[in-house]
Amino acid sequence: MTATHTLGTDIIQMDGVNKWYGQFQVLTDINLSVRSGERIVVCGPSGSGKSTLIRCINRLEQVQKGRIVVDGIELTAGGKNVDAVRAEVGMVFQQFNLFPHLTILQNCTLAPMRSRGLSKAEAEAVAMKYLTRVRIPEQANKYPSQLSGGQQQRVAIARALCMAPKIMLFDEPTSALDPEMVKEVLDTMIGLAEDGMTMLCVTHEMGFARSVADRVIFMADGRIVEQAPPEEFFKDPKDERTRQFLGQILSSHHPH
Amino acid sequence: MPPVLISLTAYGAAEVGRHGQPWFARLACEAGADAVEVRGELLGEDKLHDELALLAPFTAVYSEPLVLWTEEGDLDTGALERGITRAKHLNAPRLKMSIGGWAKAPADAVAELKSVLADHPGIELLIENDQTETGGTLGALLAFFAAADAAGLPLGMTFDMGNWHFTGECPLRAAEALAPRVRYVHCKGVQRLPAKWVAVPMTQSSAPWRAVLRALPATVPHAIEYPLMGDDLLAVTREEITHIRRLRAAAP
Repeated sequence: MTATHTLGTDIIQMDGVNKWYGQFQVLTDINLSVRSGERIVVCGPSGSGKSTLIRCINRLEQVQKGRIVVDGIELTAGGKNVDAVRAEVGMVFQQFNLFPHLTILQNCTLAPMRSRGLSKAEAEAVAMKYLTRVRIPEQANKYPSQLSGGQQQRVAIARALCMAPKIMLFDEPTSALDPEMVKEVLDTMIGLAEDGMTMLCVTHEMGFARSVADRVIFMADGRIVEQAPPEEFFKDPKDERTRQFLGQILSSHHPH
Repeated sequence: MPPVLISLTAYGAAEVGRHGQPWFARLACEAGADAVEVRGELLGEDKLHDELALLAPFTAVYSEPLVLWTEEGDLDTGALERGITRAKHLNAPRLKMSIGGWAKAPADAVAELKSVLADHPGIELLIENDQTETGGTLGALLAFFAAADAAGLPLGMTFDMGNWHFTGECPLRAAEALAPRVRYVHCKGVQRLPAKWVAVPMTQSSAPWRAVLRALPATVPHAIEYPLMGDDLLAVTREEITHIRRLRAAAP
């Protein structure tokens, strides 16, 4: 697929965002606008701040300086805005983060029943719809420990979708999987992208970036070093650090 | 009909790390495997004895990841003893290892190995062709087996169908040369990615797997060592076991 779809207005705005862990600055002067329907891949070396960046968007991380607006809601220290933003933003983690003591179906219905006020029957119907979409409806009554990593990650995606988010954040969703299992998760993400979901994805899967992203962002040392459409990003990286990173990652990663 | 085993690497290191080898051993045998090959590199250090005990009812082969001879040519008696000890804990009659740096070992190196093995008559050591030049090329293995024979230690081998590609050898020629020694077959197809070989199911292999299989003894145990994955892992495993059995039943 290529990035030929129409993008909407800005849905995420980050202005002058800075964040520190103690004395250590993890994000420096981040300015980023994301349009509705846009697909962004964030890459960079370990410790570059890419996961921290996307975790700021649903306030899993607080920033000390700067402004973040998500779907017209400014993220402030107040709890109400945070709850409102989290209702619009789904997140998928590297380690799936499913509740081990709940079945797959219960994992998917918990938040919609609590946060969106759906009845059990309504929540289950929604959950089954999305479990079907990620091609594992037959696993609904199993527990996470009975599923493979790829299946658990697809459940995590379905669980996020059950909240009807406008934005999906993916934090290295395939890095805990065996190489053979990466494709089933990427295929699910590609399906979401084709449906127009706004997506920010931290990943080293450059094949995914090349074929799905509207824009690839490269980070190093807590800064956005470079950003460009994938054809430009891969063909003509401007910064030496980007070239080095791509040289390393492309020599060690291959399509599956 | 040969026994069909599952090498537990087939389920992927991350998956095995998540569920543990006993979980997959049970699944493999439920799917119809005769036994499994337990992988040393996938055993956790915590609760090792508990894990070995859980695996014992399912295990026919223990695969020790350390090689027999170090790069300097010294017999790694620690690795060998570890392999033997674990095989015994698993009630596994067979221990699989690679020769490593045997080519640099002194002339009486095999005698030292023979001496250790003599103390453990219940364990059969099988030499595997690995993915290295010293332990996975035809010349290296033929030389080693000749030396072993001369020392009065007629060892058998685990023939890994896919590993020959990693060392640039012709697997069919290797099969023809080594068939009389083969006691155990690792079934594996291969595909070439831009910079490396990867293991795939035999039916997806770009190598002449059928001819290689035909050149190998049909009655020795065969293990699946290519990725087994899918939403219904039990069904996938069952299907692949059936495939191997059908292939070998049709062997001339």
